[in-house]
Amino acid sequence: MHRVGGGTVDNLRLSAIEEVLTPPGISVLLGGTPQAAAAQMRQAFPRSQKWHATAYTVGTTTAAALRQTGFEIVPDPTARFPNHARLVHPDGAAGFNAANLAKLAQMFENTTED
Amino acid sequence: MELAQHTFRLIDAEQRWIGEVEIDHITHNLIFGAFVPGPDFPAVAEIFQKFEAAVNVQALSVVDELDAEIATLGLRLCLPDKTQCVNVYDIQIWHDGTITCRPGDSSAMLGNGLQKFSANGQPMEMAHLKSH
Repeated sequence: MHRVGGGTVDNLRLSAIEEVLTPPGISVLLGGTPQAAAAQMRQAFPRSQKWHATAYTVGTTTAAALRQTGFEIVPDPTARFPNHARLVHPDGAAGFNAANLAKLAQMFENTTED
Repeated sequence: MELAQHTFRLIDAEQRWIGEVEIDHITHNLIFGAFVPGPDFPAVAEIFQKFEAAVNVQALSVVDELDAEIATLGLRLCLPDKTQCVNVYDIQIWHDGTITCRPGDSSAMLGNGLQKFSANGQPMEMAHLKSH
């Protein structure tokens, strides 16, 4: 399971857009390699300045590791990303607090592309 | 007539002039170009701003919803005299004045995204347009 942009606390935090989702959660991509996840983002948004930086990081972990921190993965395929899932917490937006995010971030291994 | 030298009007289903698209190049079935807002762009600008914001925070399910909303606009690229138009989908307009889109109907996005191609590798609709 991959979080494009890296498995850091900053990149795992809920955005204002995601706080109002039902359930609140952040996007992750299932399966494949970190490189493939990054490529998916580039191909989906070919003129996005954000996702076409010359180098960026992808955080990778497993669903089992996430569960150890209290988070869950809910498959949520989209038209662009059939392997899309939402990382959620049973406590909703409140579950994405600093303490939980710190534990969550420790579960990710970050790969930075050249 | 080279397609890449064309400037097209982006028109929606209500015949609103959303903007002009100067095509830079086409890779596979993906059109890259420069976008200049037209007189009716303010009516739809918010959708594209929301789209870019959702992309930037990687809120991919929200992106999906906004894709569907953009698809309902029924956008087409038309020659300035409107004698030839082609439906487009997966339209992404960015704040830096760039645009990408794909010729065809939005239903293609729900499948495998593949388009019909002519013998020269151009999507059928664009190949047709190019010949006029």
